[in-house]
Amino acid sequence: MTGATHLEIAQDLTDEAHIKMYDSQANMLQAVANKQVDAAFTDQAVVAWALTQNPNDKVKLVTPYEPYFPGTIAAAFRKDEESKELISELNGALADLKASPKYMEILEKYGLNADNVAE
Amino acid sequence: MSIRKNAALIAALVAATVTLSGCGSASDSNASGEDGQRTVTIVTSNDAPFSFIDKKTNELTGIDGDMLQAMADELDWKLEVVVTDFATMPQTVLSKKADFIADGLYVTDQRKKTLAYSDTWYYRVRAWSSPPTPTSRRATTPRARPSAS
Repeated sequence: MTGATHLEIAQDLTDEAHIKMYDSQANMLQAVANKQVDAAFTDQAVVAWALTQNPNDKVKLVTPYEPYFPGTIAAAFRKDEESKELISELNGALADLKASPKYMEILEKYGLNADNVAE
Repeated sequence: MSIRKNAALIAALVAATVTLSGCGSASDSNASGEDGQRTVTIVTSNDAPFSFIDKKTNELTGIDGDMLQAMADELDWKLEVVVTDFATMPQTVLSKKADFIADGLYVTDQRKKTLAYSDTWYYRVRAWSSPPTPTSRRATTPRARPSAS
């Protein structure tokens, strides 16, 4: 997907002429279903979710697969003073969320598990 | 399910980025409103299952969306949502059309050059998908059809 980090993985495996970029996860998965591409790199959660939303999707998750290194997910701000305050506030609420049962409830709601937990 | 409605403003979604460019910076709306709530604008690529608009409720939902709603509830933030292409999101924040990106975004050294990250929300595992073809050879040699794109 354009702007995503998965491009690096694809570049390790093939050359630029064999890589297509899509501007959204949905378009990328549709391209797989339409056989415009042979495979797509994205996150396990994306495909798992797509399949729950559309069980007839012509897409499957390759199993078993070797996961690449886990990606760290965070909110991204500007590097300015105002953002520092927002980041500080958000980090406080994030710590509270992680300490509450709701954190795991959210992960599990989308098919994720303890492997996805950040301390 | 237990997420309280913190009113992600879907009006902002409909407006999309082109229209929003005339609306001034996100920081303009950060002043406390009449009810003391701070308005915080986030940008997403409407990217299920991470951060997307639930078509039934018009609320921001998803892994990041639900986490953000929970945090916004605690902080008494009123969330506004801007939707744009994934690749455009950093520029949306840098140009102050949104306060931050909340869309399952990986932390990378490249992005750290221009963006400041919060603490880690969670980890994602990278995978890839293919059509359910009988051969598994494609699983080891992914090849797209030649294309200029």
